[in-house]
Amino acid sequence: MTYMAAAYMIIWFASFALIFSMVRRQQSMERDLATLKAVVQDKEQQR
Amino acid sequence: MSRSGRGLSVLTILTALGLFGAAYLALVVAPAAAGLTPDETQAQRIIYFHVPSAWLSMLAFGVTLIGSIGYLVSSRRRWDSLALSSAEIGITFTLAAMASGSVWAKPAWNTWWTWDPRLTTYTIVFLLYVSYFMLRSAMDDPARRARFAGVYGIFAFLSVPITFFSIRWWRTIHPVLFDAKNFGLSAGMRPVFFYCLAAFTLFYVMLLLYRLRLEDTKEQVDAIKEQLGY
Repeated sequence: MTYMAAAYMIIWFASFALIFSMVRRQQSMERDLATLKAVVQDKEQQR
Repeated sequence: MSRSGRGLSVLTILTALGLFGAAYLALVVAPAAAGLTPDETQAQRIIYFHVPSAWLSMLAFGVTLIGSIGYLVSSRRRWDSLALSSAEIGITFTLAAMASGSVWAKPAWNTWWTWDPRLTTYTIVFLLYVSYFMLRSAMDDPARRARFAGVYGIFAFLSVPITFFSIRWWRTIHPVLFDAKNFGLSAGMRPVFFYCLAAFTLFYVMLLLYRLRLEDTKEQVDAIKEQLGY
C-alpha cells in the first residue's frame, strides 16, 4: 500500500509542480507585458 | 473571455475529470493481479499511472522532434516554441515515470534501481533532454539557439525508440507489457489501462496548450522590449 501511495503521490506532485511553475511564469510574463505596454503608451503620449 | 480561452477552460475541466476518473478506475475498479504477494499486488496498480507517464514523455519528445524539424525547415519561431514547450513537459514526466518505476521496483525486484537496459536507456533519454535545456540556456541569440536546439532535438529523439525497444531487443527484467503476439494484462485490466493512457494523452494536450500560451506571452514581451530598445 505504501509503495502504491508513494508512486501515485510522485506523479501527482510532478504534475502539480509543472502546472504551478507554468502558472507562476504566466503571471510574471503578463505583469511584464502590462508594464511594457504602459511604457509604450507613455512614450507615445510624450511624442 | 476569448473563444480559445473558453476552449482551454473546457479542456482543463475535461482533463481534470479524466484524471480523477483514471485514479478511481486504477485504484478501485481495476482487478487485483493474481499470484503476487500483497505488497506486489498493491504496487502493481502503479502501472496505470507509470506507463501513461512514460507514454506521455515519449509523445512529448516526439512532438519536440516535429517542432525541431519544423523550425529547421521553416525558421518560424512558433515551431521552436512547440519543441521547447513539449520538451519541458516530456522531461517532467520522464522524471515522474522513473521515480514511480523505482517505487514499483522495490517490492517487485527487491531493489530501488538496477542498471537494466530499460532503466539505463531511459536515464540516457533524461540526461539528453537535460542537455537540451543546457544547450538552449547557453545561447543568447534566439535564432542561433533555435537552430542548434533544432538539430539537437532531432538527434536526442533517437534515444526514444531505443528506450522503447530496449526491453524487446535485450535481456531484461523489466516487464514487456505487449509485443507482437501477447498483451501482458488480463481482460479486466485492459480497459482501465487504455482509459489511463487516453486521460494522460488529454493531459499532455492541455499542458502543451498552456505552455504554448506562455511562449506567446513571452514572444509579445520580447517584441515590445525590442521595440523599446531594451
